[in-house]
Amino acid sequence: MAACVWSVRSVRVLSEIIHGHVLPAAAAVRHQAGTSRSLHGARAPAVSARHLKQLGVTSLRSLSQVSLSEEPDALYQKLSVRVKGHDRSVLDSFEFFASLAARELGLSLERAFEPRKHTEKLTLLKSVHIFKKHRVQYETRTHHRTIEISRVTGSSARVYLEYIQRNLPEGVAMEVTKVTAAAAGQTQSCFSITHSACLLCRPLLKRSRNTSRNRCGTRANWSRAVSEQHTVSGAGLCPLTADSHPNCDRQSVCVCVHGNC
Amino acid sequence: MATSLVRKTKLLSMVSSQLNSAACFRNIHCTAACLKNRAARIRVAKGDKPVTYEQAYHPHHIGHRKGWLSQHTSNLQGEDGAAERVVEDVFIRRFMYGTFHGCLADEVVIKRRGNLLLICAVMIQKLLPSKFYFLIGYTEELLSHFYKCPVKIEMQTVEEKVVYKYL
Repeated sequence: MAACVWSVRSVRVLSEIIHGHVLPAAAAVRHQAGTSRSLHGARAPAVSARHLKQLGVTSLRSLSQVSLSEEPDALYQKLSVRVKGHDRSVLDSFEFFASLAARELGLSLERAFEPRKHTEKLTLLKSVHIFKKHRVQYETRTHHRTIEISRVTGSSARVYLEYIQRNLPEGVAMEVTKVTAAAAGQTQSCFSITHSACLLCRPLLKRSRNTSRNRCGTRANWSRAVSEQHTVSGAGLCPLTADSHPNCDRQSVCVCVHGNC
Repeated sequence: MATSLVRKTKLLSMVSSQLNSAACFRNIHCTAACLKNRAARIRVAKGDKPVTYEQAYHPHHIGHRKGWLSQHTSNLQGEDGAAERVVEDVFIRRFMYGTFHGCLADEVVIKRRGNLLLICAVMIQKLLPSKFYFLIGYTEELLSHFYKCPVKIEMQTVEEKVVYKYL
């Protein structure tokens, strides 16, 4: 179906945008519904150190429509999406679609399973008047499917959920449960990644199953709670490793999202 | 219906009692034939009545050989609003039957995606395309004002009614 092909293409575009270096604002995602072609055409070019040097940081800023915000991005331990419907085959195809979308967007899909179906039975009288012995039985079956995604940021979760919900088939209902990663202490230095000009934060990193690598290349363990306060300096120092990134623009904030935050 | 059946059974029982007394020992079923299901079924007849796929299969085939004519989430576990959706569906079907009189090849399928109400219909090429376009626009406009939600009609035309079998 044409709509299917279009949606797969837009997933690839979205994944390019997320990995490659700019997290889209919600407005950019809304555009995908009408103008997939323009989104395709207007995506940011593949960014590497050499390109950035050629282009300069300011031109990249003009290309991207996202704004830098200093609010801490929400971190979710687990994002649980439960869909229910009357037709099991529709839920099968939706599970395939959602897991494909999660894989393309680089989210870690923990598991996709099928909880037990629920059957509601009604026994009614067959006739309008008398004939108590003759009844008719009706049955309503509700099938469920749960997809669990672990260790995801608020922005990624929003993008993924918006994409999934826009493509929900008719007759299918969805429930989303988010489990926030608890932070101990009052440290507030986890900034949301909206625009990063730090070159070492840029390249795509291999996703590993148990621990996630942050953009600076240091391994972060998601189960550890916040213990220390990180300061972000404008001089291009990575907050966790305190390495200096000489190519960082002094104006921009080099941010990394770690599980420690 | 029930009273006439009861009267008939009384008559039968009187006749049977007379027959029994005259050394005739055949038993007759005296209860009304309520155990037969009659919902959405066309009974097998001479073999000259054309019947579509939707009409040929009985309601217990829904989910197995038939699909759903009306797709919404209010009949799922933990969801509400079923009664309102049913009333809306009945109105929409009657409206479509009346507006496109004689043009409907098969039942109207109603799908709800979020706010959007999608009406899918297969029509016979009885009217000119321009007339069809006018009626589609008229229906969409009227129903969207009535139900306060966007209404879209997806129509497919067919030369004549698709016959599945003859009953």
